[in-house]
Amino acid sequence: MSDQTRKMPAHFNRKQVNVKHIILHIVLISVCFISIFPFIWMISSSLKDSELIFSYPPELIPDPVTWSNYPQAWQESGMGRAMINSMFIAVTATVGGIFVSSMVAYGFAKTSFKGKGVAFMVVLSTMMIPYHVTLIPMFIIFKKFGWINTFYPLIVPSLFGTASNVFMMRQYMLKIPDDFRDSGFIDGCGHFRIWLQIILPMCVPTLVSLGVLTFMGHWNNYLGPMIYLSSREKMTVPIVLRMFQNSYTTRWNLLMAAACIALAPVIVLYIACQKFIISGIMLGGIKG
Amino acid sequence: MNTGKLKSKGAWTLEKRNSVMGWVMISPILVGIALFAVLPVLFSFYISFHEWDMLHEQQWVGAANYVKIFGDKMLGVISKNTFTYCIIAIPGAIFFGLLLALAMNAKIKGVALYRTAFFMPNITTTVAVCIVWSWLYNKDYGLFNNILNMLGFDSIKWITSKKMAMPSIAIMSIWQAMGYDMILLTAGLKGIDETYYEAAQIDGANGWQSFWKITLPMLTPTLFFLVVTHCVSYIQMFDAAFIMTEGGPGHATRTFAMQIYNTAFEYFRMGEAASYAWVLFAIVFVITVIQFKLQDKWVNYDV
Amino acid sequence: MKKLLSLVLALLVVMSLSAGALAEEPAVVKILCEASHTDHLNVLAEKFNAENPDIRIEVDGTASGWDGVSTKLITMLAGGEQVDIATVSTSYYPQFVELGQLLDITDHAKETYSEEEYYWSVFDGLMVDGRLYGVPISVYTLVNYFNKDMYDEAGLAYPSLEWGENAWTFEDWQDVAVKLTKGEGLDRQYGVWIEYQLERTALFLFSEGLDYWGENLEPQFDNERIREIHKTLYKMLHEDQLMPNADLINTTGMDQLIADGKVANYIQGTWSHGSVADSGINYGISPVPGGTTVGYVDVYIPLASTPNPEATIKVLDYLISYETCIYKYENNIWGPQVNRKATDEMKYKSYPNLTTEEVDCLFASLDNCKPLTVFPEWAEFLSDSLLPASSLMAAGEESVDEAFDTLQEEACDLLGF
Repeated sequence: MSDQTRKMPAHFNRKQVNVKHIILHIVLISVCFISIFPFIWMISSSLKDSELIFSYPPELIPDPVTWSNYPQAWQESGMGRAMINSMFIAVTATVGGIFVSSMVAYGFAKTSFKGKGVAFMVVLSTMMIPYHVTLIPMFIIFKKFGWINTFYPLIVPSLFGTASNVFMMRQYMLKIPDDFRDSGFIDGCGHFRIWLQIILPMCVPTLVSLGVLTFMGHWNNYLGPMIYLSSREKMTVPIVLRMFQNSYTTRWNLLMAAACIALAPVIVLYIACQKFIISGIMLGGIKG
Repeated sequence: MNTGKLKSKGAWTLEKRNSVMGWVMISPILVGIALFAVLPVLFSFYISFHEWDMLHEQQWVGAANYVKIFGDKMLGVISKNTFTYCIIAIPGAIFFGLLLALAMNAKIKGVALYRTAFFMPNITTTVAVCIVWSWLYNKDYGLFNNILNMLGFDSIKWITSKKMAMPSIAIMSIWQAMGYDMILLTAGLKGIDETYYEAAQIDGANGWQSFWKITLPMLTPTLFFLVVTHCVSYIQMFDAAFIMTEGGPGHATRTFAMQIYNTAFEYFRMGEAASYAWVLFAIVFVITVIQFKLQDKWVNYDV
Repeated sequence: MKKLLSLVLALLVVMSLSAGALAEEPAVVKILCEASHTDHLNVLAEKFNAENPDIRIEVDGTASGWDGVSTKLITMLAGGEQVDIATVSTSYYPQFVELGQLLDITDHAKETYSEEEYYWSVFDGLMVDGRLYGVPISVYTLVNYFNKDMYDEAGLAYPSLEWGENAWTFEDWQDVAVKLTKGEGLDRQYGVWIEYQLERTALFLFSEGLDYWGENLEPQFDNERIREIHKTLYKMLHEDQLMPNADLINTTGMDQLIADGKVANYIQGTWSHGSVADSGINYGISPVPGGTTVGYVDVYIPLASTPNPEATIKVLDYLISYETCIYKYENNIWGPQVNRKATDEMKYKSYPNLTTEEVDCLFASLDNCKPLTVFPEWAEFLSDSLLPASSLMAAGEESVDEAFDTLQEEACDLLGF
């Protein structure tokens, strides 16, 4: 069999392929449209005058374009402060969490000790505990610590490493040949240095991908801040957006502008780190 | 003899060092689990046998909270709602994710671009998604009803009717999750060896047959992973229903998680909330165990 | 070198000590309020803080909705966070009294708030077993705002300004509803509106001497007349479409509908007067049909856990003082106030859009209102049963009989009948 036919599933001939591809493109483009339409709609409405919002039939391109919704929404929603808070929480929790998770993952992937299997199963099984089961006790525990209305409850738990990130990173580290570790032993390094100096640099793409996903999880977290934070200057982006929604139920253009502002950082981050994100998710599909 | 003894001693120390370092390196997560999983879970179990409003002393009430919630019709309502949501959203997200993955796996141009678009909803704050969708779903001005009207259909009361509210939220979740599922399933598809298809083709199988005989069985590990993880997370659905419908209309979109939240943080009956939480835990546990038990029947790990 | 270092250290210690002693920290009084109260409370707080250097009021307006305030308040109390005063609605007041977390201010009130200066009937309404645990934010009633231009256009006489037995009746109101409704689709104008929410529709019960609760709080949701009233309203809303439906209100917003002249009669609390006035329409105020309305008293509650009880009480005094009430009247917020002098002085001035008769009518509503029947479980019943049932009927999802059957059952369960 020639190379040419190997690349394509052999039961297609060239003409069929073209027709099929065109149909596929049409289908994919329409799904694309469905996927991003709410975003387009959001942007379009955020640029509309309040009177245009309910025009029928709906107009996609606003005329006139009302840029002033943005400064107004920015001011009235207090989004600036919230973004700083969200950024702080998400960055510290992510960086610390990913770093620790990678160490734990190294422990599971590259060291051998009695009870490792059991310990790993314990870690995995915690992924099954519903968030709400621990919600009340955690609230009480953090209350005992005097951590209510601080960022600690949103950051500290992830600094011990998270089960899903440990799982994903272990998957990746298992693929790294043990020879790298063993050459470290020969050079007289211990596990700790091997992890830090040899294995960790090899995992950078994975660290980034899981990091971005973790970051987004923290950035988008709604329930945690809602329960633990109470003062206005500590509010995070989703909470502020929700508060804004409550007080502006009918001013859709401002609401949409605020939503656009809130989404902008994640979307920029997503587009910049797309490749990493996708490879990060795919780790979950690898058989371990 | 001498060297042999030395060698075995050296191996022993390496092993011991390995072992100690192993425990040290995984210790953070073990501490984390003890503090933030085991302790709260036990504590929650303890609270579930008490009456407590967080302000006064806890009072031991035995199984009264469990007796109460099992006698309350809300348990049936929230179970049904949560079930409705899962039964639509989980298969829906996986099905559409699979369709997309298959479409993208045909070697066509622009895959990266499509993927960017499909995954966009997944990274978005649920709050923002809900704000936009509650507008799309609006009965009089919403886009969906506009389209239905243009096509000559009657308007649907998407999120304001008891029947449609939960399915509407599930549809939104499918929209949000299908991109994620697509990426995982694409990885699964990439892992299938081309030679299987070639062999099938020689045997005279058409595209449909090779999908059923090769693609689907080979994807079962990924599908299993998706079903298990989706079940655990979708049973806990909170944000969407809380933001979009606040559990309404009536109790039509009140989920298990919302009932726990309301009981705990609106009515301050911590004990009752904890017993709801434990019922939820039991349900998740049983479902996960059943799934693992059943995996031999359909999941194919041979490849 | 060492000597120098120790000298510097000693100096630092002395300085920090003296600094602490000199600039005495003011006692902080934290007010947790409903989000919509934040701006005005901030203004009031600023004024107070300028006049009282020893006390500083801090306003926290992060919780929206009364249920939001309640949740947040208890979470903060449980978390050991300082809250000295919180705003709660009528519905939540009994629950907090029952929880036993409030500062008893009965003696202070009796000494300080004189009969001449304050409408004591309002304080009496807040007494639980003879003890007082809060001061009124405002006293609200439901009144009817009507669009004069729409009446003129239809050639109809305005509703009478008489309360009580001489007021216009439920039937008169239905009649006006039909006469003032016209047009279709987005252009439709509606004769009347009252939120299809049982807490509001209680006013139709009150004028007939009915209530959802019997003498010993026996639920009355199986009462035929109560159901009949709600069936009439249901028909007006869904079948005859004499009122804008919930969907329309959700998207367009009631304020917008009023400003657009789409609603001729609008039964709503006096708390909404500001937004009606802002809408720019030519409006008047009349009694509600039946002549007996629902009264709501929202309350500032002082928390027993406050570290500064004296400062807290001083702030409470300020919040119902003459100057505060004047400020509220001047800014047309929060309806009738509890301070007599401020009310007498301001009542005509603060409603420039209304005729003298209408202002009198507005204040007469206070004498013709009946407070909602509330009890410690009320807040839970409200958010778990009453509001869901109301929203189902408002959306046309359940018939009156279905919804009321559920309500009767749930109320009996909750109260143990």
